[in-house]
Amino acid sequence: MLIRLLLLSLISSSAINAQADFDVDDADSLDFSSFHSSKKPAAKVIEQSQDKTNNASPNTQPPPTSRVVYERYSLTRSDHTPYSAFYVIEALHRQLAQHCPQGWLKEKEWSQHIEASDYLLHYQYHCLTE
Amino acid sequence: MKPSNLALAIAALSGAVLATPALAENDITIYGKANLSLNQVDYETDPEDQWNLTSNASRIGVKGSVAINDELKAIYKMEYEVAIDDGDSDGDEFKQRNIYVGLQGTWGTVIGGKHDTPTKLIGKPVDRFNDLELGDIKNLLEGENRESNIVIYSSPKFAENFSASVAFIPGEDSDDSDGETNDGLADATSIALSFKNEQVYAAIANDSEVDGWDLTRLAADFTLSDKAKAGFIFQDGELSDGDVEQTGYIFSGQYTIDKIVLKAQYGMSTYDFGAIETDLTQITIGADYKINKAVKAYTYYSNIETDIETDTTYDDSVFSVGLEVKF
Repeated sequence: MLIRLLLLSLISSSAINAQADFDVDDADSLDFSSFHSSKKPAAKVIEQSQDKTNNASPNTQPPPTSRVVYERYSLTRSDHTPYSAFYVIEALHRQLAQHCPQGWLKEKEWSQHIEASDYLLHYQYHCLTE
Repeated sequence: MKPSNLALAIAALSGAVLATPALAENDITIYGKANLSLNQVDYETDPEDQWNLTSNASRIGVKGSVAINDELKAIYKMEYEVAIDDGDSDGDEFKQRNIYVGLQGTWGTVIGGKHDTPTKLIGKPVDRFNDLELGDIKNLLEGENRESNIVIYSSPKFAENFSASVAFIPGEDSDDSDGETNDGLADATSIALSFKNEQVYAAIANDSEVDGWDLTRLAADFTLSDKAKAGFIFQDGELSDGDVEQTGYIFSGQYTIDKIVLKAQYGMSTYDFGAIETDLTQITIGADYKINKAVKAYTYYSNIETDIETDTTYDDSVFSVGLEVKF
């Protein structure tokens, strides 16, 4: 019984920890509202797994795994990349086709400024067969 | 509950979450940090010259809430100090830290249990060596109290940037400094008002009869740039029976260079015992190296000089290297 309880503790604490974005930083504070608000883990940009199995009931399918691919492009010619936005869209689709031969659902896209006129174009997606 | 049963209790509680998905809307979180340092200690006030390992208030806590209705929830927190170095937290495996149960709604939060006073908590943003041997401001200033049997009401934000907290502590038949019995509802009180925006944190607090002291504390911390912060604490207090007075201040600052945070803190405190005065001067410098979001390595040196008016001076110092892991 003791071993079972300890195992349950280890399993559940590791699952719970994923949601605790360092509550210890908020613990010694008069802002009880912030401390008791649910904290989500910081968003991971690359290869983020939306593991919500802790909240899922046993009879539901696990959610698909989200991934992110990105390519650098430039609005004008730069020292780092001569590629235009049009060019990297094609490159991203090649990557998606390689990762998901049966097709994919693009969840969102965004561009992040790097320097000068250079950006990173991101696609967040999951494969249709997962 | 025996402290040795704590792990079992946490295990049972955590297991219950897994076993009963129906309770999923009632959140529970385990959190804490492990902070271990290797210290070279040289004390003159309590002759000691040695190397030691120190746990620096490492802790594990459980927090959670249970929804009562759409606008009200019950909240709880149970946090214990863990002695990583030798398993001995004042004679126990686990030492009680802030522990409470309470209610929370749009009107604010009310909790009851054992908890830091509002006066102690307003100074924390300025205390850049909090929980570290000699570096913590508790070595210099009165008012760093964690009180049993405390009830705290904390308001939601009002006027955009303000919040307030009021705490009272029933004496539960304890003796006060005049030898009288404390049996009232609010034998001791601690109140605080704070302001916070992106650049400025400022707060004022007052204790009455808390741990035998009446005092007023002013704290402020300023974000000077995305790399630099600076703050101060000023406080003035006296024993509730009026025999001893204390005035003190702290200045602290930090500057971030990539993954390194350079920190410095200077403070002074004067105790007036009537016949004689004693000055305490604290100087602490250190650096944190952020290995990643959860882990940092650090080093610091702290010195407290105790200067008694009878021309007696003591120097206590600590040099330390440590590692902190948050979870």
